[in-house]
Amino acid sequence: MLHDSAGLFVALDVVSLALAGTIAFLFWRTHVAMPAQGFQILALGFGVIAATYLTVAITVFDIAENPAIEAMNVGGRLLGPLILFTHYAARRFGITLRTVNTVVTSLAAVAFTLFLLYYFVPPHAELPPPSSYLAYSDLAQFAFLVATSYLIAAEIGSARLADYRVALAILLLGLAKYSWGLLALHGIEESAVIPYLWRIVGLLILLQAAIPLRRIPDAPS
Amino acid sequence: MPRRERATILGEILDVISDGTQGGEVKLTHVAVRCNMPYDRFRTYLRDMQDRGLLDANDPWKLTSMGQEFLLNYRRWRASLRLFGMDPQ
Repeated sequence: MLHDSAGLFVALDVVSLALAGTIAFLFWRTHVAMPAQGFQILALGFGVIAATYLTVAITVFDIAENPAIEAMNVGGRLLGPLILFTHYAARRFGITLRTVNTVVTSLAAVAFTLFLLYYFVPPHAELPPPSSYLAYSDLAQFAFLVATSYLIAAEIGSARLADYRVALAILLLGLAKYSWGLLALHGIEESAVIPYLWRIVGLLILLQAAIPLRRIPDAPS
Repeated sequence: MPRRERATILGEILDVISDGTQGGEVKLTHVAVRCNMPYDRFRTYLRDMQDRGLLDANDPWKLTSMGQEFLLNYRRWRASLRLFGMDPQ
């Protein structure tokens, strides 16, 4: 059964899924037309983020109260921001990572982060369910997204404020995670609209920045 | 060479030509250096762009309307990638 008052948040999750999915699609098209690991990695990162919006949406249904889905939720949510962070961190050091290396590194980082979260979350008599890591996972995602925002801004090096809008958008996504993390830490289970606002504004800015990618340069024959 | 990667090379050359010829006469070698390209290869690309209708057949420093449209799309595409810290250069 659908939880009460969840319709709005499901709708917001679906909107978020559509926005992030479109961004992922634009980068995937760019990669297909002009093969470059960076485009593929960004498509994958935003694609995973889009997929986690879907898994969040289905948690409002009782069928999602399943340890496997919750574990996928917690781990999957970390993976998207980690893929982006790994990519930009590598670029910062002048390293061009292949997609498979980025994904493997990110998966290892997710596993390591979950390991840390498990040992820093107050122990219970039995093995705690994956959903109890959610608050700390959200805060970890906030940290990775803030770091990614900084790395993107450092890559741009422009004097124009408008050139930093993608970095700002990533920061807004991080702010949404921070808000959810704090809500969860204070035991507030009901969702709130404000974090969704940060997220959707961030995604809209990202989509606006990515829209020109739909017209890939094509030399006339 | 994949067609689309060729498109980015042409876009870069048109970008340099468009910026470099606004002040008047420009030397072929100077533009080739700015494009980071060997002189002979650069001349080949110039002829190619004239054949494709991106540059004027009689004046390689003059962009046709097709060339200007192509350059505009290329600049927008590249500006978008720069926003994501993904400068294709």
